[in-house]
Amino acid sequence: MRGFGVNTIMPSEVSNDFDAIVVGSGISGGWAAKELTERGLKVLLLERGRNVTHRQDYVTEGKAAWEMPYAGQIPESLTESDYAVQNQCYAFSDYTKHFFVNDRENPYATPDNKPFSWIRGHQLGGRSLLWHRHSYRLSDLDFEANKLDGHGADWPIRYKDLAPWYDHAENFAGISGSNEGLSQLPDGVFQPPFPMNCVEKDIKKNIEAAFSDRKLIMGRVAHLTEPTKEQIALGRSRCMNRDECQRGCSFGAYFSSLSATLPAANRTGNLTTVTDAIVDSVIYDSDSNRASGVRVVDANNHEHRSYGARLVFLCASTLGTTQIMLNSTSERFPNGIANSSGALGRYLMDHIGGVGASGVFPGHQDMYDAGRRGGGLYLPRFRNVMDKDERFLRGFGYQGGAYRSSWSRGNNTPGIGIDFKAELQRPGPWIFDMVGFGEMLPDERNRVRLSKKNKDSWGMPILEIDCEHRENEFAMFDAIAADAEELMNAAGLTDISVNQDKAAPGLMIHEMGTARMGHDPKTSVLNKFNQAHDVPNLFVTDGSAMTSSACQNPSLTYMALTARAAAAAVEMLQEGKL
Amino acid sequence: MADNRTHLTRRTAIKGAVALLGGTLTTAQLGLLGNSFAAIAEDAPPRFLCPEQFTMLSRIADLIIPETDTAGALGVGAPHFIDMMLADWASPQRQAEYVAGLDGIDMRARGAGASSFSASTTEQQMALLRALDKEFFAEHSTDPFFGVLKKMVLFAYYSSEIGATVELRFQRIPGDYLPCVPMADDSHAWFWSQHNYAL
Ligand SMILES: Cc1cc2nc3c(=O)[nH]c(=O)nc-3n(C[C@H](O)[C@H](O)[C@H](O)COP(=O)(O)OP(=O)(O)OC[C@H]3O[C@@H](n4cnc5c(N)ncnc54)[C@H](O)[C@@H]3O)c2cc1C
Repeated sequence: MRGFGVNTIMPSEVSNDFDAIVVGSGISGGWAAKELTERGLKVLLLERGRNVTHRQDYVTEGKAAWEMPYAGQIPESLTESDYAVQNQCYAFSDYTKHFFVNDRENPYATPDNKPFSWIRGHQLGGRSLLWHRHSYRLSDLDFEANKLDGHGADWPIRYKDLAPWYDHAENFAGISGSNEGLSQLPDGVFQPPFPMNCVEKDIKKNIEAAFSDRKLIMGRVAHLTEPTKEQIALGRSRCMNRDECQRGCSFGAYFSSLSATLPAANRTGNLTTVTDAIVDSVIYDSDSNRASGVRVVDANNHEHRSYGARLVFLCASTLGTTQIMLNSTSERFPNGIANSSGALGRYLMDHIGGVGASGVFPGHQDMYDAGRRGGGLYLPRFRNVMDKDERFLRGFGYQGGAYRSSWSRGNNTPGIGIDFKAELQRPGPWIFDMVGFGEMLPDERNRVRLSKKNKDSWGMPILEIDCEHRENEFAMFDAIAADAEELMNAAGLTDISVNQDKAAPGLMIHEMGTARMGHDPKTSVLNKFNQAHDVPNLFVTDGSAMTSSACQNPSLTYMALTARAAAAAVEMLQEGKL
Repeated sequence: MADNRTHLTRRTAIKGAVALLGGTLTTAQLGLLGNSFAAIAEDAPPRFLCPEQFTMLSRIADLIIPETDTAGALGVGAPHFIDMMLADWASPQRQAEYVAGLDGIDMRARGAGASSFSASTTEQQMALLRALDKEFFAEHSTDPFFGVLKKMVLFAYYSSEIGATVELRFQRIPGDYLPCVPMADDSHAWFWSQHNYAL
């Protein structure tokens, strides 16, 4: 496909002399591959999942309900036996299930009464195919939080360190959104935002009139609305408003590894990609105190092999990377590579969420919208920004939007027959809903370990995930619900209902923190360049590096951290420091 | 008017985008494939339900979504679709729920003096379904089955090609998002294929 495809090669053809190995091809790994190859390094990208070819393998793209075997439903017994966890994710359906893991084949353990919903995608592109594309910068309110209230280690970087890399990430990925001048949500390099519909505009006006500290803005989402030359050259084009992104997008209109970073890495001629290659551990060379390569288990024939390189980037997603590191034991590192601090596997965070509210907007009955906008609205954090809230530390934001309900409201409406049918044929009431995304404190007790008893079918010890919400999270859940109700009232909505269902940890799919960055090698795994304190040529740039979770959707930060780390690593390599 | 404009911008946008992709979009992705919903012949025997229950299901679906100036549940093949769902999609518990639930409705009809639900008059059938619907939405409803069945009938009808494109309106590739479009007296709601829609 004219150079846009990703060249995958057979393992036997792979030689051992790479400059760098990147493990994982999701959002972080795609960025690492791009940045390292563009700086001239020969990179081997290892991905445990199958190959997915952009466009060709988006097998459900554009399919209407009546063109699917069960009109889009997955057989119930199959859901129960193979997708019990993934099915908890709102984006999981028969249109998307091939981009989610099979839970039966990918087990993990949790203690009784402490569920953790680990939502994963094992394939070329990882969860970059599945994400909802909300992209927000962290600010110094976030980078300073740990230091100020004493929870978690101090971030070894501040906003100014990351700002140019956010610019770089947004510029390449293509983020649509508006500049708002908010200190807690820094502006960026944006393509034009999606428009708000009439109801959203009214609600924005109402909320902002009622609360001087709150703003309702268009979400900043990784959708092209005005593609750059570079994006067009990579085969990407503007968003067609289908809102079926998670099936894959042949327009390349949303950022994914397959639409953006891997084609960019590939055109350098420096990238070699091997799929179906499960990295089991990092090989540690005690003489040089370096990672000399990685051990791989072939996903299909279970054969073992290894690859060598001068530099190793772990980007296998927070828990994937942590599993590999914990499993990389040596005399020097009996508890996992680069884990002299003991911080590896600890301080697991997700966002808190699920709680929110919805209501009916009484006006604009004569208007509706057309097209399916892929991104909704965002209400940035307002608690603990200017004033201190006595109930809890840190803050939360909301995602939301207004839409005219369609036929499915019939499920919750009494009636049958001619009138009922006629009523459902017309656009239903305008509904506005919003759901909170709150910060979770880093807590040593929220942690993962390797199972001593159970291995997966590739011989890797499975993860035991022990994570729960605690006092601060519960206080914040209450505030999210109360503030949502108050906002709904101010917005001018009727029939307000508050949803108190707290999502289990993991289900916000922003798991992070298990190999955190910090100044101090005694309490953190990575330094300010995502470089392992203990092993200089080992870099970890996915969510495991996060020292705190903030409340913003984190992937843009993973992109910026990865690009920054790659630049630093190449510089150190060239200076002979690695 | 507004709808015409939507259509025009949409066409241009899509043509432009497809040209840009160098024609790599397949016909499937552009939605030029045929209908695969109603692959079952109208008079084919049911695969899961017994003939009596299938007749009952057909009657109930017809009463929930009747034919008007547009096709109803029968016109889109909803009964066969639901029977297929029960045979191939439903769990054993779900299958049992339908068999018992349809039985329960039949019992109610008999309790009211009919020899069976299907043998009752249309008025009697409609009255019974309205009562069941009302009970389902009552505060302390004990029997969820009518809600389950109604939801399935709605899903079957609106997920069909006629349901989505004639009864409602459907855009495979909208092109633009138009935030504020004036509604006409006869504007139909949009069909959305929903993620993780729990039946
Ligand atoms: C439905 C959904 C909606 C989301 N919405 C948003 C959003 O709006 N905004 C946002 O910021 N984030 C969102 N996220 C989260 C986002 O997808 C993740 O933060 C992001 O993908 C993480 O990037 P990553 O590269 O670290 O991990 P991933 O994208 O998960 O990629 C990791 C890759 O590593 C591979 N891998 C794992 N273990 C190994 C191994 N041992 N050997 C080799 N390869 C391995 C995996 O197969 C995978 O391909 C969403 C996620 C989902 C599922």
